[in-house]
Amino acid sequence: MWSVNVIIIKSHGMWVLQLVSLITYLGECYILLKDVLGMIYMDFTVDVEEVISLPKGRLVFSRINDSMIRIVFNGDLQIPPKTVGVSRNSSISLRPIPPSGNLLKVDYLFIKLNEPVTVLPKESVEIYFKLPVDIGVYVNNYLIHTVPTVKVKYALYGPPDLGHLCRYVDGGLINSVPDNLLGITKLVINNQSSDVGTVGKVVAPLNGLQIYLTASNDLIFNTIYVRLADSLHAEVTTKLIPSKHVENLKYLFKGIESAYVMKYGV
Amino acid sequence: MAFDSIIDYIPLSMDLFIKILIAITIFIVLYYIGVLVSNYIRRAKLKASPELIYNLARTAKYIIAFSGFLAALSVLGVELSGLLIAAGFTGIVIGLAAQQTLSQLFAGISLILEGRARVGDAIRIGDDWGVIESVGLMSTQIRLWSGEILTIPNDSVMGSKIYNYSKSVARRIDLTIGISYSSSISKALNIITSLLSEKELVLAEPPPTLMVDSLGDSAVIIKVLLWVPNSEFWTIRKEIIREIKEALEAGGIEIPFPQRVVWLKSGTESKGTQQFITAN
Repeated sequence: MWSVNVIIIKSHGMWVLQLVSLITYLGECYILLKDVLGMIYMDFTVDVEEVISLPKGRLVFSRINDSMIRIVFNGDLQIPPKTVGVSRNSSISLRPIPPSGNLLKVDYLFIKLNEPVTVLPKESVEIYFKLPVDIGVYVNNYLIHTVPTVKVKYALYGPPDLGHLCRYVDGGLINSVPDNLLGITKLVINNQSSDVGTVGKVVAPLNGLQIYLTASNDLIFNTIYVRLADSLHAEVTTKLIPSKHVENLKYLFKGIESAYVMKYGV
Repeated sequence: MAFDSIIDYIPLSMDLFIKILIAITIFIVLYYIGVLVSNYIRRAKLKASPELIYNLARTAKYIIAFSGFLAALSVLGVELSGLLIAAGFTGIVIGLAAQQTLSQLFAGISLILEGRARVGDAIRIGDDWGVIESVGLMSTQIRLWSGEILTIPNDSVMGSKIYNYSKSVARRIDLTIGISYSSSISKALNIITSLLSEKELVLAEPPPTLMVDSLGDSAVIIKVLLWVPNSEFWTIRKEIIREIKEALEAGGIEIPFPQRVVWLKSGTESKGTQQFITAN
C-alpha cells in the first residue's frame, strides 16, 4: 500500500504528498484508537483492509473479493499468511486463547520455572505465575487463525522417540509480553512421596487450559495441579477452577479437565 | 473304432470325472474364500502396521488356497498322510536348497513383527536413503530420494544397520564452524547463541550446546549442537548454516579457509633462494 503511495507522489507532486501524509496520519490514529480499545477484544468487519497493531507486529486483514479475505502478519514473528472465506457482512472477532503452536502443532505446554521449587514430603505449595495468551481470530464463533503475542519456542519433553514436543514458556519469554496479554496461573504442587521433591518444569495439556476475564479486563487461567510421585514422575491435572477468585468472571475460552503423566523427570 | 472306445470309456470313468469336477470346484471355492478373507483383512480397521496387515492378508490367502488344494487331492483319492511324509522329506530338501530364500522369509517375518522399519518411514540402510514403500515377506522396497525403487532382500535388511529417521519427534543438528585465531571466541559464541534463540524451530529445551571443540590447523573449531523438530530438520539445517555465516561475517568474525604453505626450493641450497606457494 505504501509503495503505491510513493509512486503517486513521484507522478503528481507535493499536494499528493500532503494527501498521503493525511491518510497516513488518519491510519495511525485509527490504529492507536484500536490499541486504546484493547488490542485483543474486538469485533469488526473487513471492507477493504483492517490493520490491528500487536506487540510483535501488525495483523492485516485484506479483502480479496466479496467472499474471501487474506490475513497477513507483518512483524517479528514468522506467521504463515492465511486466506479465509469471509463474506463482507461476517463479523471477525479477536479473542485471547491459551498459548498453542505456531509453525508446529503441539498439544502440550512446557513451563520452565525460573527456579526449581522444593516441596517437603506430604506437603503442598502454591505458585502464581503468568502465562502469555495467543490471539484467536474467530469468524462466526469459529476459530480460523491463531496469532502468538510473543516469540514462540518449543521444547522436547522426554526422549526423542517417546517424548513430546511442547510449546515452551519461561520467565525470559514472559518478560517481553505486555501485562494485558498475560494471564495469572496458579500451580499447586503436592508432594505425595515420602522424600523431598523438587520441581523445575511442568508439562500440562494445552486443551486443559481455560481463560477467564475479570470485570477490569484482566486475564486469569485455570489452576494446574501437580501431584509429585517421586523425583521423576508427576501427574499434572488441569482443574476448571480459576487461579484467582474474583467476582463476575467471564469465560473467554473453555478448556476441559485434562491430565498428563510426566515420566521423564520434573 | 477309436471313437467307440472313448464312448465306452466315459461311463466307466464318470466317477473319476465327477471327482475331478468336485476337486476343481473345492479348490476354486476355497481359493476365492482366501481372496475374500485377504481383502477383508486388508480393509479391516486393525490396529496394526500396514505391512503386517498386507502380509497377514497374503498369508491367509495362501493358507486357505493350499487347504483347498489338499482338500481337492483328498477328493481325488490321494492319500494325504503319504503326501505329508513326502512333503516332510521334500521340505528338508527344499530347506537345504532354498536356504537363502527361507532366510529372507524368516528375516521378513522378524522385520514385520519387530517393527524396526515400517511403511512410510524415512530410513538409511547402508548407503541407501529413502522412504520404505513396502515390507514384504521376502524383500523390502525403498523409494530412494532420487526416485528409484530399491528392492533389498530381507536378510540383507536384517543384517544391516537401519537408521530410522521417522521414529523421533526431534533430531539434533551438529554443526562445526571454524573461526580465525584472531577472532573473539566469546563474541562468536554470543552471536550464534543469539541467532539460535531467535529461531522459533530451534528447541529451547534441550538448549543448544556451543563449545570450542578443538584448535585446528587454520581455525578455532566451534561445535554447535541444536535440537529441532524432526519434520523440519533439513529446512532448519540449511537455514541455520547460511544465517550463522552471515551473522558471523556481520559481527566481524572471520571464517578462514584452510591454508597450506608449500615451500619450493629453487636451485642449490647454497644460493638460498626459496619460493612458497599458498594453497587453499
